[in-house]
Amino acid sequence: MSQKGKIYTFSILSAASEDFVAKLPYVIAIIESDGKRFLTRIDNYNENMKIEVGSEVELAGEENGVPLCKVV
Amino acid sequence: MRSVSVIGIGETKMGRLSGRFLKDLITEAGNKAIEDANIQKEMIQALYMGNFNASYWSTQSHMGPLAAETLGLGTIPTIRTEGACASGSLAFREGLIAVGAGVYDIVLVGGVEKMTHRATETITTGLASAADCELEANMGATFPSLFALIANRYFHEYSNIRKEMAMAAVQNHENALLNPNAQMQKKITVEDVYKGFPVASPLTVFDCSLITDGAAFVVLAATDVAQKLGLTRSVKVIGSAQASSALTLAGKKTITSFESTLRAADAAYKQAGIKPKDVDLAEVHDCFTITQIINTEDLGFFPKGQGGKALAEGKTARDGEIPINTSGGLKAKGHPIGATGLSQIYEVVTQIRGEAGDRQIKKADIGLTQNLGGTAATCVINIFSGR
Repeated sequence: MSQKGKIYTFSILSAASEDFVAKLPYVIAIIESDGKRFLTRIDNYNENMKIEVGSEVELAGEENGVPLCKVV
Repeated sequence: MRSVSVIGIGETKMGRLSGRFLKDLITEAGNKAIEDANIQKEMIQALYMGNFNASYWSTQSHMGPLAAETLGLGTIPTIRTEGACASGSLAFREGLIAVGAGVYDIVLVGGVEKMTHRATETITTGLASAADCELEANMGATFPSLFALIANRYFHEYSNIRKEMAMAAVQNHENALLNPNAQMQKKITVEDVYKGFPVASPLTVFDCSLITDGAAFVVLAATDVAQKLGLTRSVKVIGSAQASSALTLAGKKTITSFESTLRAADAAYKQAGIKPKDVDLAEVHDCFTITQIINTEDLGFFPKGQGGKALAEGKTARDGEIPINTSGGLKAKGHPIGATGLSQIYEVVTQIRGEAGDRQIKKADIGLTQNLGGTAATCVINIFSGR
């Protein structure tokens, strides 16, 4: 992806699989960037943050070769 | 392909079956189906077993011979099918194809899953393996969260159907109250759904199907063989189709309609020579409430974007124009993954036979089952007729 993209859809999780319980709550989103879509995790989520379809995100590193994002 | 009929059905009660494990569930449901068919075990020529993840949850693979030995079926060929939540329907379809092709005259098809002996996080991890491990599960996506992504996108593209989704859960719980095999025997309200634990927004725990132990079996026979045996309660399979779509959610063209369902439905309706309006009842894959609504649109029962409204108007109730999930569905009857597709068939055959007791619908000549695996990466649709 380029450095920026938009949220195509998202969900705030309160339950996770074994390896991710410690990260709760976190956001899973599909990002649309340069006409392509990919799934990512948004780790800088907090309850005061407004997230909606269309919100802008930017690249915040990667994990296992998959890009992680943060809300701008 | 020659005509094939369901000649016997059997299932366990669904639920948290403490102290009962795979072989016990297989024994009960398998023998019930064989007795229901009124045939001798020696007449069964092959066994097809649907199971999703006993390898992980019970460290038990090689499900085919396990079930064949448990049921005393001798040395017949057997195989396990795995297609996530559609594993049972895949077993059914493979058995159907083999009988239809004339390879066998009579086969047994089963599905089983044992889940409740594991912690919820372990169940969640096992279920997540039905998604793309690298691109989804290892990023922290769970199955509820993947369908939550679908729900939020649906709200954006069509309308916010949060209330209608809650009503789907309420309706399925009401139906389950009349099904003695259902896991949930509890009436719930729309408010209960809203107040449930927020598993993955906008879904609460009441939007999610259940963690269930259970097994379901059916006996399939060539229709002419069933007639020669004088079996009068058999139900014909008049259409069966399967299709796939991308395993990843981000790799699908659209996520508010499932391409696998659209393709399988089109093929199954053509085979059966019917239109969606000819279907009297359907068991559809309500792994989550949003999925039930999308499925009723994809199957052609309602226009795109109108499934929620139709449900709210009572069109999918037991006395509605197309009763959906009279069994209680995955939401309230239960979702024993590998057995689910066969349990759907159990309900449709029971309704067509007119043996559904208090939940019997008035006209049940043609019934349909739709079973999804993953985020609809696999879809199997079967159409049944009592005529």
